[in-house]
Amino acid sequence: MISFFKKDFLVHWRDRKEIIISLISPLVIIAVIGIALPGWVENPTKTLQIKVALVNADDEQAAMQEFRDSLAARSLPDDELLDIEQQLEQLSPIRMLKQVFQAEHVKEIVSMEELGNDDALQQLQEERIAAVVTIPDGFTLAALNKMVWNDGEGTALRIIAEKASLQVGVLNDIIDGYVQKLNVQSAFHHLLGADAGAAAIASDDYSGIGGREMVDGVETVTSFQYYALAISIVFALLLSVTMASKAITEKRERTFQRILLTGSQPFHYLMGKMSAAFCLSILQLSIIILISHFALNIFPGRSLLFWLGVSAVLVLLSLCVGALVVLFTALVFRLHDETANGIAFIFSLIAGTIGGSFVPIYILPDWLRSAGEWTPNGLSLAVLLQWIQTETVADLSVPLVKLAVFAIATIGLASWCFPRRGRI
Amino acid sequence: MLEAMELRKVFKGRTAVDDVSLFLDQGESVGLLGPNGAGKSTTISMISSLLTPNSGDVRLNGVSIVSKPQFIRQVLGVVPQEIALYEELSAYENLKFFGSIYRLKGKQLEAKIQELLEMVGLRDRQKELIKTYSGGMKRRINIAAALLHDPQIVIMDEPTVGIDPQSRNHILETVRLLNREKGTTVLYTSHYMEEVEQLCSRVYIMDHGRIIASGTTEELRRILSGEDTLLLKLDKPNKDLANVLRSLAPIRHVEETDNGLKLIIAKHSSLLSQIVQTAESHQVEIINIHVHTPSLEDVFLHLTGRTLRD
Ligand SMILES: Nc1ncnc2c1ncn2[C@@H]1O[C@H](COP(=O)(O)OP(=O)(O)O)[C@@H](O)[C@H]1O
Ligand SMILES: [Mg+2]
Repeated sequence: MISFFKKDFLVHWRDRKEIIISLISPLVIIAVIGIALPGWVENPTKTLQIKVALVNADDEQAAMQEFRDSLAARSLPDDELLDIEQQLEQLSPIRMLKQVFQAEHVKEIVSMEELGNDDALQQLQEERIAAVVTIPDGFTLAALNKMVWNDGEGTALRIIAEKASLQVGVLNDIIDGYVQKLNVQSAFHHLLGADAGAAAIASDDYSGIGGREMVDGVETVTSFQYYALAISIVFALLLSVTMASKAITEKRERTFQRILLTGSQPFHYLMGKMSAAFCLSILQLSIIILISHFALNIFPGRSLLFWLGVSAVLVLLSLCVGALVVLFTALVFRLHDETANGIAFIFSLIAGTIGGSFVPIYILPDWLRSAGEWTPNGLSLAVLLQWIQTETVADLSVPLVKLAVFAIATIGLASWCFPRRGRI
Repeated sequence: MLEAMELRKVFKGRTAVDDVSLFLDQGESVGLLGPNGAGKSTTISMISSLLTPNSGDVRLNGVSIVSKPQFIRQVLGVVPQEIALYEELSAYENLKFFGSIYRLKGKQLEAKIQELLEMVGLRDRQKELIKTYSGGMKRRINIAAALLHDPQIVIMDEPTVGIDPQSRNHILETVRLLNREKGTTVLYTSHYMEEVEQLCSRVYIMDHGRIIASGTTEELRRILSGEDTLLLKLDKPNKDLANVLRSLAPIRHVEETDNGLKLIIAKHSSLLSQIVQTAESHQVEIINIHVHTPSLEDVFLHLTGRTLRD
């Protein structure tokens, strides 16, 4: 079997043209789309619009009162107390948040409605809105303490979304911007009298008032990330078609007959293809993702756990690619060359499309999107997008099992298709 | 040793091989001669267990291998008509791959590869990729790849088509060496009758899916013993002369050659004077007349009325 593996690996590896195409073109596509798309994000179009509910669980009046009481307890000099009292008039974290959403360029994308908690969650479930931004109880007080005294860690704003999407990503960026703005304020108030440069430094300090808490899938998925994954996955899928076409050559040039004459088991022949495809797919995926990551800084500062999760998904995806090569190879020996190749190509085209490899899954109708999750590429992409946002290990296990089942079922189908002796 | 019995193969309603029986004895070198499309390759595929016959049987030492192909696969080496090698691999890598799936290993495999490369004269170019080889060199590796497991029987399907004379001589030499010095049984397929005449002691002649004659080369030539072949060298070609000669009863076949005519006539028919007169009456001068020893080509011509390369 190792001989078969070496043979298939070398035959593909020496096909320099194919290798270059399968490595260079995805990188080019990722770069081009990635560069084109941030513009798409900044110049919102209809497809980027999002409906959001704002739930205010905080009592601002009470918070103000409590803060004033705490001022009294601090026994400050009179003039400083007066100064703070005056500024407090203007300091309202909640009002500032609402102002953010009233800005013209934000209103174009985000339509914000203030709702009660239950109401908001229900609308979210019915998919009438895409996300809920919650101002938790104690937010104002914590923010004021942070801003005025640089005291404590602040509290987080919460974003809840049913599904990850580019739109939710945009919302997330807006909230980020707000957090940053509060930071500037905080720095300003804290470093009263210090020079202006300090504000700029402090504005880099994202954790200033606690940042935002990640809830149910809301780390941003950038268009770079989306396309780096989608494109490398679809090229893995295409690898299965090119590798299966090598079997056509083996059939035409009679090397396969020569293999049969040695008395080798077709099973070993197929497993050689599978293992070679598996390794080539892993190689190709790693090279594309790593190069685009290092060249474009696509996944900055992610943990080891994150990369392990990504690897796990890609390993299983590559197993599926190997299994598909086996299936397509079986078809080559079962059917006419062109028919088999056509089926393989059309399968990849359809799987690529509904799996979101060509156009973002978000713009596909729901039923297509769920159909796409039955393809190994669609499922891998969906899982990876989820993983980028949540890094929840539990979310990984079921899809990984599904991918494994897909691979096994495909191999089963392939051995059923593979012609019996004397019919080749 | 190896015996094919009444093999028949039908492809989509067309009979490619019809009632073909042949046998190979140990150490023999047997030719299978026939024009393109005669059914030679199809016959070989059935003998080597790659193709299941519609009817008939193939037996190795009396055991049917149609249902038990593993019996023949270890003792048989097949050189296919196509160059069945991986173009992207070097000659060495090809031999190593096929050798290892014959379950040869390590030093033994290495030694065998080098021995075969030496035999086909490509040892110093073994690291080059097959796709950079000339047609003749590919054919030589194609043969080497069939010999890795020291088969007792080697079947070669047109191993010399479309190659340069040097490679061709090398291949013929290799076949001779295998058969005469190593005692390998050889079934040699070709549509070049000179090769078969040189290499084989016994010949089957195939046409349109059937065996139309068989025997030693001597026996086959004797088919023609009732006939003589006359080669006339003429000063100029003349269609009418050929037609008139064709109408003469003892002349069985007239064929135009580059510089005259080839006649097949019944033996002892003392036609010469009649031929000379006919030529004169057409103002054609006969430069010389040659009585020719029949070749297998003539046998084929006799049996089918066509030449092998028609
Ligand atoms: N796989 C096949 N399907 C259909 N027809 C075939 C196939 N293989 C061979 N034939 C036909 O069978 C006949 C004999 O072919 P073949 O055995 O290759 O002849 P040869 O080797 O003597 O040139 C030809 O007419 C050819 O077209
Ligand atoms: Mg042939």
